[in-house]
Amino acid sequence: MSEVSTPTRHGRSRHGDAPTSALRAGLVLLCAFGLWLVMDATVLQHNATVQAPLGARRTAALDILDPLSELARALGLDLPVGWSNVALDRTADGGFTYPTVPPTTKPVGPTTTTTIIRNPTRAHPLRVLLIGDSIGEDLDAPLLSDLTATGIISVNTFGKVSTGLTRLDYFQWIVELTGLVYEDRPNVIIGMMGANDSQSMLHPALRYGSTAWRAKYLANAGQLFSIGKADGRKMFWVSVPAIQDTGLNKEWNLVRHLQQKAASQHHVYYIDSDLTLAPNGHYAAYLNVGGQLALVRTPSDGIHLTPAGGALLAQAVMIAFKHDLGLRHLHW
Amino acid sequence: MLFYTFDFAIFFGVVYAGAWLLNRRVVAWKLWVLAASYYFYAYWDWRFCFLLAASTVISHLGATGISVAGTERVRRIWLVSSITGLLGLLGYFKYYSFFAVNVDNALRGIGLGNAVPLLTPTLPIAISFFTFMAVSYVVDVYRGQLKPATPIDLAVYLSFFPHLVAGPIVRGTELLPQIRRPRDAQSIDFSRASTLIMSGLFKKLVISSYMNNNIVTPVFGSPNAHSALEVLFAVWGYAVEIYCDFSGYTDIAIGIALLLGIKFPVNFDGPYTARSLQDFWRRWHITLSRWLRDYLYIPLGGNRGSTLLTARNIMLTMVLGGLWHGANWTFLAWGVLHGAGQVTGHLRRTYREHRGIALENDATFAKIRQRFLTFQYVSLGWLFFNASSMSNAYSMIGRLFSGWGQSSPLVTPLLVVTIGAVIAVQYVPRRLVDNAVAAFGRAAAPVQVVALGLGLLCTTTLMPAGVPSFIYYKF
Repeated sequence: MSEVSTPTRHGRSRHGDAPTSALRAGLVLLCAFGLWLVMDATVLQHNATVQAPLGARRTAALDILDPLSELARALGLDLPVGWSNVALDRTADGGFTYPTVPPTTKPVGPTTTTTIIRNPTRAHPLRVLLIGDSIGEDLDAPLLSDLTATGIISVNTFGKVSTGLTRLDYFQWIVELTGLVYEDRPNVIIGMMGANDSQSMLHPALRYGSTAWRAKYLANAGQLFSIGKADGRKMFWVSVPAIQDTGLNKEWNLVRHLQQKAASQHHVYYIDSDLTLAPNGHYAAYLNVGGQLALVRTPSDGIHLTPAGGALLAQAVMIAFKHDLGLRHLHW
Repeated sequence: MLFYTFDFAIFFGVVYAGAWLLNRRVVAWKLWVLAASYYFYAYWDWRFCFLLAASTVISHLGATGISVAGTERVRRIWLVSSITGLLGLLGYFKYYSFFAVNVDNALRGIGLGNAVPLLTPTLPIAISFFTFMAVSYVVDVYRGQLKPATPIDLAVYLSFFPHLVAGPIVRGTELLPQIRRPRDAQSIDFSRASTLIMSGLFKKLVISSYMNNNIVTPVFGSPNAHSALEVLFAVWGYAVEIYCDFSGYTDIAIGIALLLGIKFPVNFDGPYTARSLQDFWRRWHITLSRWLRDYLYIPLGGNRGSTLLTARNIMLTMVLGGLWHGANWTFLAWGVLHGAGQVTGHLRRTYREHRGIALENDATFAKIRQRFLTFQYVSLGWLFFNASSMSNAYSMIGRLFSGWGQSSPLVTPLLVVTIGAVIAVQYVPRRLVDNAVAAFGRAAAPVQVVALGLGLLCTTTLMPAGVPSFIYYKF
């Protein structure tokens, strides 16, 4: 069988493998780990730079990885991983690649016309794009089902966990959305993200909650919304719901406030998820779904939505969607 | 602390050095490993350590009480009370939400709403595994198969970090003797350990993640938006994902324990080569299967009674095995499906025995047919196992019949080849694998360094940016 067999109960393995001393085994493992560390140093350095939150841990990691990646580059040891990453559609240091958009971003075909929005058919469906972070993905699955069930809406989804509008140095949502809009030519965009946004920015270095941070976050959200709304598209934005951790929830209030403000400035339909998921004004783990009590938030983190919670929020989005687009006969 | 993180690599490096330095000093070794294991567990949430300690105390009290009791009645009282305590902890953390929601809904129906407090206890990671080990320990002491361990031995046995989070479910008779004496520092099964760790990492980080991200999550999330072919491949893909995820985890756990000089029992043995459901359960999560057999199926009566009683015992064992995974109707359905399949197999064997017909048809085509059908049946079980709800499972099944003729962009050649390869590899004769491992063990140290370094590089390069957590962490 394929599994590597474990040793027999009598200690020695069945096929007479050469026994190794603990010292030798430790040294081989240490050297192998070191070899991997040097050969992968450029990727690890990139990941530590863009993924790790600011702090002592990140600083320590970079203190170790900076000289190692220099060494790897000098010896050309980074090349195999670089080539592999490019072949895997990443940057050489393992970063994300984005869709290439021609300088003039005039759409190839029709983008949004009032006719399609008002009277979508199976032959000419309304094109909807769903975007979000991990909590947005909790909404995307049931929303995709509801939208598809109408028979007159085609849906594309794009989610990226651990991303948001604060650390655009890690994942560039602005560039990604520009490419998605060019490629998919959606009529409507529905977005939900913000769970990872209550942190300081790296480029430029701005402390979370400072005036400069607020201005930059508002600008980031505004830029995303202006791309979403361009060419006559409709855009809906779903707020991140109240969460169990009251301290963190207070931090999220700033994110919610700024997103709502940007949505208002860019005429994006803002859906307050708390109206559905926190009807009493505070976090609720259980809610009534279709006449039955159901667990709507994951107990392990008190943040994410269970399938029942996602379905409940999707219903609220569908109602807003139907109402705002004037699709009176929409059924799902 | 996940096995594939930097944090764990540093942690293990320190523990490894300390464990071998203290190897000859038995008590110091135990204290070191115990401290390391509690640190490992506290890395998720330090409060969970109290739960682990509580399970240890309950098991110790139970085992001690059983061993000093003068009469069978008192021994039995100790047994029942300690198992009740252990299962009570498990029940509260694992099943309370399910219980509360369903009782509340039932009571609302007759106008008695809000009768049950709606708490949301966080499920402590590993609780199912260490509870099962604690129960087996107490029962083994009761049966006279094991003498009560000292508190520190018991604490090390239950908390030993390689098996703590997701098994294998090691018995006291297997692990306790190994921690009571020094291990041979000159004779580590290094080639096997390192091969298990590397293969486990590759299975988990590359193959399982690939299946999850590219077919399983999108299709199970919204089956009605996908074609029948995509649904079919999502089900097969999940069969591959959960195998690579879980066997990958236990490969790493067994390998890590081997590096510390401790041997764990095997937990997987080419499960998708099984020719029947009974055969499948001899190859899949073997340590759970034997736990269910020895501590549930046999106490229920096993196959000692009539055919009907045996069928009842099989069904009960599989249903409870399903519910062990969590309080969800989908796990119940999974258990019922496996129970029904096994009962059918048992009835078939009984019928053939009575008629004097050969139990197995060993013709080549028959073997292929048996393996194919067993895999399809197991995959149907996985459909329920991974579905978020019964309606989600029905949507998946419905789509299998109604979604043909649509485009299937998620079914790529790479996906098909990967699924085929994972299943095909299970047919590779063990002798060939063992020979390769032995050859690696005989290689010079620099060759081993380069092979392991490049193997790790290959895994980290091919793995996606977002690696889902181990499936069995939530059980």
